[in-house]
Amino acid sequence: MVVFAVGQEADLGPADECDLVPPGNGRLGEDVAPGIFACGEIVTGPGGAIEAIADGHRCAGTVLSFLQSRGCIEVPAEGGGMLRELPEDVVRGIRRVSGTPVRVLEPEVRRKSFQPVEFGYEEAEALREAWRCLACAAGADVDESKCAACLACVRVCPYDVPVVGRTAVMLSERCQSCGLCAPECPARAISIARLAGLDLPARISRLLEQTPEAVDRVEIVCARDANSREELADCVVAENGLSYARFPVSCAALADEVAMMKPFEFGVGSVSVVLCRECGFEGAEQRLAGRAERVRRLLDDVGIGGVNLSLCVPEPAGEGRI
Amino acid sequence: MITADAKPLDEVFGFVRACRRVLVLGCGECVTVCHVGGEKETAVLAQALRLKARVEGLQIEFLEQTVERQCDPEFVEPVLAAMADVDAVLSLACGVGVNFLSERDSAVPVYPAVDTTFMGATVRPGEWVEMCAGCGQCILHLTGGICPVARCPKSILNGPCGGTRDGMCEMSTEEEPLRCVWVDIIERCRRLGTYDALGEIIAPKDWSTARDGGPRRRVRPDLFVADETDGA
Repeated sequence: MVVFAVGQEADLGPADECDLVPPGNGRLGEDVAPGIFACGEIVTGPGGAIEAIADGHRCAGTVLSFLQSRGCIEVPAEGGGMLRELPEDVVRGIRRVSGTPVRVLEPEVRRKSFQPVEFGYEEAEALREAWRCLACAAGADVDESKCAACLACVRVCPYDVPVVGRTAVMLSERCQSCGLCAPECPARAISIARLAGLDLPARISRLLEQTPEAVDRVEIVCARDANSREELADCVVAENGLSYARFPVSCAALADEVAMMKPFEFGVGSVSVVLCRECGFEGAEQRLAGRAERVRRLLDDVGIGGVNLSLCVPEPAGEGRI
Repeated sequence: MITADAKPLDEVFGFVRACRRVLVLGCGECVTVCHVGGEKETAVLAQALRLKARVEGLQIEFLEQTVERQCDPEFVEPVLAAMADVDAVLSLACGVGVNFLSERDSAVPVYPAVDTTFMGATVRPGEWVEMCAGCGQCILHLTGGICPVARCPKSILNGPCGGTRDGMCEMSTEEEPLRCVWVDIIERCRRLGTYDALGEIIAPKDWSTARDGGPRRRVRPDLFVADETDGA
């Protein structure tokens, strides 16, 4: 006997009452009602979570085009295709991060119990496990209209990803999505797919504009050390009589010059870039240190003082300025 | 490429201190490649200027834009509309871009945000060296492809002079070592088998084709478009 331990039926809530249930392949809602979209397993029936998430992404793209074009539906093209077989040197270069074991009931207990065998992950463990994602094919992408073929990406990349002819081309099967190239690109032509939508200067402006009281210190924090989802949200906190604004980012070592300067525009007293305990990518910290040094000189020129920008590496690597 | 250095922030801020709205304008060609005036540097300069204005208690809005090239009319045209709405333009292009924009709109001042330096090559990431002086009469076929006009402090045509020491120029310092370019020319010609030809005296150049002859102009009538017949 096979017991399906998955949800078998969608809870359509209000949609049920409004007679808007999409029949069959009602993904785009055209045969349902204009402006109603459906995706995932309510359309396809039970399947893999990965397919459902991918369908959600596609549907979001359709909704975006619908909203931007005021009603014209354009189905986004299927993704960028499959990654080719990874070259051997790429496979060798991938950093191995071992999984977090799931705690299970002792065999002696299991024998005599109907308790679930696996305890599952605590939140912190789940977050740690999620960071193992290699962000395959979610790495560097070049806007060819901006690329000046300056070769900066070639000189920065630890993995020999960019090939530069008239413009740079990123070989996605080589890219490990470290993002080192993006803040160094003088044309701002490189985007990192896994960091899409995380425009740090814009986030800093948004939060500080909404914060009426003065913020003493801004921390751009590597989210890899986060123990809970709460730590993944931009926030203002008060500690020891001081007010801190925290911006967790996928990799603090990718903070660029503008992001490091932006908080001072809002009267913030000091900025600190807090790296994670173990940076996964070769050379990331050195590049950040170079950019930070430049910002310090600019802050000196401005009259704010470069000493107000610091880089921190938390314990156990030792806390303090690099 | 044409290389440049960022001007000191104080100097640049001084140009626009009295303005309310300033367009910080990058260029997507040479100055992007030498990391001084592309979209990234435009953003960094604009941000530093915002902070400077704040520190000085001034209300100045800094807009950012980067165009493909500031030295071609088709690329510059779209900027002119934006220029009508600002008190000044700070151009991160080489001096060519500043000139070109200035000639197009007399009402809005265009200030240089960089000091244009020379025509050179990237000898290693982060280091550029002057290699051509644009003298208008190339003699590289006589000197093994290495230019004494651009790379000898005296632009000496028949070297080396008496100032050469152990392969180094007398202008060389510990901080800024400078090889004697004539030593390099001789070594290069030996490898090429053209050493003997160096014995021939290179005649004095006609410097009228260089800057000494005044501002230069290049004309290719075959490239004129139909309605610009008097362009020459």
